[in-house]
Amino acid sequence: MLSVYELGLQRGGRWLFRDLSLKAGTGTVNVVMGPNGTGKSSLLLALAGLLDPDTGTVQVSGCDLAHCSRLEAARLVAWQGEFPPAEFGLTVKTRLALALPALLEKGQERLEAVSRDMELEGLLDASLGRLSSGECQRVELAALMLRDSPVWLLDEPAAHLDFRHQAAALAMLRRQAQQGRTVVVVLHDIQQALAVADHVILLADDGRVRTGPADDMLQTDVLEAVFGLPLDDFTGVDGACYIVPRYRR
Amino acid sequence: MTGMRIMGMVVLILIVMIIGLGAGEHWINPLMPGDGVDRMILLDLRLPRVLIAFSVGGLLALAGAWFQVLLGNPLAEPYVLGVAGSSAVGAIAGLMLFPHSAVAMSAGAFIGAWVGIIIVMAFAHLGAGRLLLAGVVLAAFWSAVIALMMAVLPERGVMRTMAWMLGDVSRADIPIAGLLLIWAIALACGMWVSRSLDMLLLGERHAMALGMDVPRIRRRLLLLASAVTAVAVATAGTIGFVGLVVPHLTRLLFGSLHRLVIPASAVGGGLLLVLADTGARTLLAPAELPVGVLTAMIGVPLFLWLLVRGR
Amino acid sequence: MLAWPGGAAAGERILALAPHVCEMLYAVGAGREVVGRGDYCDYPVAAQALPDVGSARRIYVEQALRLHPTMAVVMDATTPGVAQLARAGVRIVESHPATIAAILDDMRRLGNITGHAVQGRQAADRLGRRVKAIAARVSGKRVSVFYELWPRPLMSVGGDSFIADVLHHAGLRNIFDKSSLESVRVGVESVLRARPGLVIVPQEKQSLTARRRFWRKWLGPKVRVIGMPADLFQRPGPRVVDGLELLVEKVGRSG
Repeated sequence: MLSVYELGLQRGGRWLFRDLSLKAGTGTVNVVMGPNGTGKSSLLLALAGLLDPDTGTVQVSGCDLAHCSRLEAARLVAWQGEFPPAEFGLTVKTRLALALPALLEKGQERLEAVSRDMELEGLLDASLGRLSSGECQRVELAALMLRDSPVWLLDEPAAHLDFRHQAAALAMLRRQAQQGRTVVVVLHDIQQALAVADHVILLADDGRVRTGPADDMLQTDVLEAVFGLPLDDFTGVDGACYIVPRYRR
Repeated sequence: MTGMRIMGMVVLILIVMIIGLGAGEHWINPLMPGDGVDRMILLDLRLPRVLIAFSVGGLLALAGAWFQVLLGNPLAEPYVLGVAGSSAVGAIAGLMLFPHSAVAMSAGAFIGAWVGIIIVMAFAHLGAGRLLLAGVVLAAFWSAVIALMMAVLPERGVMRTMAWMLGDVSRADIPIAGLLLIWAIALACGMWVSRSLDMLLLGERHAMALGMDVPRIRRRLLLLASAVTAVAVATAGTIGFVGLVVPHLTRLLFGSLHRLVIPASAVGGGLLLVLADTGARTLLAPAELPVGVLTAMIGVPLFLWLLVRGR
Repeated sequence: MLAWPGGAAAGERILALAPHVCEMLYAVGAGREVVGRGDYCDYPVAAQALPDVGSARRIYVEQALRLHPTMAVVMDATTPGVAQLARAGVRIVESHPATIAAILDDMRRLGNITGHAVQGRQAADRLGRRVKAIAARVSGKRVSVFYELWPRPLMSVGGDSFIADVLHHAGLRNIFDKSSLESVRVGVESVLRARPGLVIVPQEKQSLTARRRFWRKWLGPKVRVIGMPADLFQRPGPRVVDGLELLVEKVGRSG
């Protein structure tokens, strides 16, 4: 359970957003969407306690992150974001081992199981600098999967991945939520949001924030207002809802 | 595997020690030095020298490994934050104030190193990139101060300063046992923080996300690396390339985990400097070369080779 | 060595840009024509009053030209600023003697070109006679000597250096004569192996005790360690003969 009260973040003297309050319940997938530069990644960092917010508080399971030690915060929240630097020749295996919580029993088995899940078995001894972006992304997802934290924060987990791995990653998120994990995930693809979201947090250019259940938020009029682009929606033969941008040629 | 590595390291140490003790203007068998002048040269001149070179080289390589992680830049070396410059300023100031004191330059270098460190610490809260920039600019400032001091220094002072800057391990102003103890303490500290160093390889944000108190560890590491650099510089002057090349080489051989990189650097740096110093006093004997010249001559080609190979 | 041969002319305005040059010019009687000096030109005392217009590393061209010099005597014509002086019409003369004989030659030459040919020749001849007298005194077994140019890093002088020539004239054998470097960085080990009977430490102000203790530790209690005034010994000027006599006297004195 993740609670946010009146969170506000500034960048370069300008408010990215203010008064953001939300509750992300246990076992839900909460999708953050919005145009570039509205502060989606910064929001995630603030939720992880990696960035001190200018106003407001973040609580995880009743603990205020600002008053937690780094170790306690890391136990409560896990974060997936930028790729680690490749200069020092870290191998995939080492990178994953570093994500394992210290003193974890059967760490090695966990590591192997997760590598199988993310199809990394053949890459374990490769150094990070030799991987493709998609492979790097899978390593980062695997590293997240090694964390036992009740709250997971993911910044564009589907980026760089091919279709099949995108689908697998999204399915993994749903599965984790069903097992009681609280997931907050930044996504750009409406279709992916439709596939996983319970709740949606929409950040707009003017700093306003809208939150609500996915069914209410993932509507063409709501999204058109935020993204400033005409959208079409239709129902597929399988009965699923599709919302697509009207690209022009 | 670990046993093999330790065995290999011990054998390597023995070989290098025998070379370092035996080679010189004349070869002396280190196991049977006989009596008289050979024995005196071996025990009173070469042995201290080999031990000084070993501990200073080890300290430089350790400091290099720490600074590289700390600044997230594998090109960092112990002098990257301008500590070499500030200690040189201190050494010259010592020479100017007490021109006839034997220890003025070492003491001045030690004080100068700490002045430089305290100034750099004021920028420690900045990220790695900006800290590095601050260091580069400070280094430029210190070299301007050095140039200014050299301009007003008497000719012989200039000569002495130049020689100091190129390094000298022929004697130390602190007891050699103390120097070896500092080496051992630095190595132990390095082992103690090795997991933190590993986590920092992922970048500061990931390290924090994994539960590390990054600002506190950064301050601690900066202090540790700087203290070690200060001791090395005050003892032997500014010897380059050991701190840059050795951590690189050990990462290549042993991977990036610091549980191996740290001891391998502490030993490898020592061995490299022992070999360099042996070369410095043997190649043109009886004339001696400054040891910094040798480390650069070994270090630069080695580093370029690593660069090309690493692609 | 002259930059170009020229006739003698009195009434020159001379810049003496190295300590030994300053001493030579005064010794040949051209002292009154010297209008500017390099720093460290502290002998004779009269020279100290002159304006300082350069060091061994660069000439302060503006200050130098303000003195309207007609001639500049330098150690090395490639020193920054010398070319500018030459362009401004100042006659450049080089003096960098590497032996005692060369010092005497340079004195004669400087006397010639400054219009003091007779005085220059006489001064040089007087010094030459003193050097010869020393040669007569020191014939015999040559004592091997280590000249400690600088203690840390340990430096000495090679065979081609001016100081080595002085040591030879004093009847000593420089242990690093084989090295062709002017100043040579050496290890204690090499000194130990060469076993010099005598160590010479050039002195400015410091006491000799520490160096004596250091060398007795390595070379045994019997080694002789003597100090010599640095500016008598390390400047290739006329006073080197004073230094030479002092050295011979000190070496000859038992103890």
